[in-house]
Formats: sequence, C-alpha cells, structure tokens
Amino acid sequence: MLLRTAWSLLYFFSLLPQTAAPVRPSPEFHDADTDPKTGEVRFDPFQTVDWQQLAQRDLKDFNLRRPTPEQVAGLKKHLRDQPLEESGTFAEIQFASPPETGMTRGFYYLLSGADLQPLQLLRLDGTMRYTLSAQKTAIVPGVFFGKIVAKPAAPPAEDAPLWSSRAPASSSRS
Amino acid sequence: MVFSGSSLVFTVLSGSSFSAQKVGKQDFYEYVRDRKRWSLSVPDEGLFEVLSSSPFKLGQSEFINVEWKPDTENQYGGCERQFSLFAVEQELRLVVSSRSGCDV
Repeated sequence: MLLRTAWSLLYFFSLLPQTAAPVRPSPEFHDADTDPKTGEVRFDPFQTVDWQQLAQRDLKDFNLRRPTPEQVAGLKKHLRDQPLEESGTFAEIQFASPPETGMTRGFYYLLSGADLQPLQLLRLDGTMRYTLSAQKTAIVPGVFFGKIVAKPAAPPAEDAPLWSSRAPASSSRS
Repeated sequence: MVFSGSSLVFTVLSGSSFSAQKVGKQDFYEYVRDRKRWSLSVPDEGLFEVLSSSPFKLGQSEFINVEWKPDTENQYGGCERQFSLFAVEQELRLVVSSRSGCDV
C-alpha cells in the first residue's frame, strides 16, 4: 500500500486553557497518511480505542477466546509466508471495525496546505501482531493497534501536508 | 477533548511572511503579520529552508503550515517531503512536524 507519510507518531494540540468555562471548540491535530489509490486518509484515533476488544468481536480469521485448529493452522501458515521480520518470529493480521459511537460525535477535517476538507469516517482498521507459543502449537497475541480510516469529499493535492483535525468548522478567506 | 455546537471559521490569511534560518545548532523561525513579529528557536533538525508557507486561522487561533525544501544532500535523513505546523500564540509554537520519503 502506498502511503504518503511515514510517521506514525501521535500528536496532540489543544487551543483551550484548562479552565471550566466557557466551552469552545478545541482543535486537535494528528499526522495523517493518504492512500493515493483509494483516496482514504488514515490517522491515529483522537480517543482511546480498545483494539483487543474490537479484535475479539471483529477478527474473522481467528477467534481470540477459542481458536479452532484450522484457525491456528491458518495463522501459522501466514506467519511462515508473511513474517514481519527476517527472523520470522512475528506476523500481523488485520481486521475492520465500524467507527465507535464516541468518534462520530466529533467533526473531522483534512487540513491540506491552505485548504480544509470535511472527512467522513469510514471504519477502523485494526491489527493484531502475534507469535507462536514456545511449543509452536498455539498462537500468542502480542499487541493490538490500528488507525481510523476516513475519506475527504475530494482527494487532497498531491504534495500537500496532511493534518487531520477534529472540530466543527466552516471556511472563509481574508 | 471539549466540543461545542458553535462553529470554527477557517480563514486563509494573506499579507504575512514566514522565514527560517539555521543559527549555530538552532533553527530560528520568524513570522511577521501586521507589523507584529513572532519567533521561535528550536534545536536544529534540518528544517530551515522554506519551500512555501500557508498562514490561516481556525476560529480565533492562527496557524502556519510550512513546507520545507527536500533534504537532497541527505544531511538529515534525506526526506523528500517535510512539513511543519506552527501555532501563532503569545509566541510561535511548533505543533507538529512530518517527514516522508526518507532514506532512514
């Protein structure tokens, strides 16, 4: 997959002083990647996401609580065929989840150069990294993580910087 | 995170300038608008050659989106695309930087 931005670190920015009132919109900014083929934008969630819980619900190829022998064999084969690194210790499988309720209460925008586009949340793309047990008979889940996937109304300019932001907004020009 | 029903207005700003230079082991940034000057000095990370800058406002808050020249001499990782977002507050503040297409 072609992704424009290599950084995966999460950034946070708030304009609000830490006072009780008045309540005003508080933009937060995260780095974002875009897939030129699909036009989809990916960024780290602004909220805490329990990716393991989502994986328990939405991971189709592997039942975390009671994996079948076929599922274990499938992930062992996947580890052999597509290891994450040369030693072949770890591999990853992906799953998709619908956006969580709390996420859809916000407003998401793509800030690209001097342009602000509303983003529509599409889904959560989660990943489970795993390894084999010492006896190499069982799958041992490692870390769970993922990205929010959204789509702008129009694709961003080719080389513009991408920051995803969450706040209500409208636009004008001075 | 605080939400509000009131909208932010996105405004592209004109009549301003953003400049950068390397001073010793620091990168020095200066933003000028309406005869006001904001500056910031940060440890040098190779982000001091401006390709373009786009000032704008989100609500009452002012920002500058800066694209830096590619690191063609590979002195700072050889990144092809480098961007920074600054907040214009009492002082100039670096919000986030992003690099892509790097050698390392």
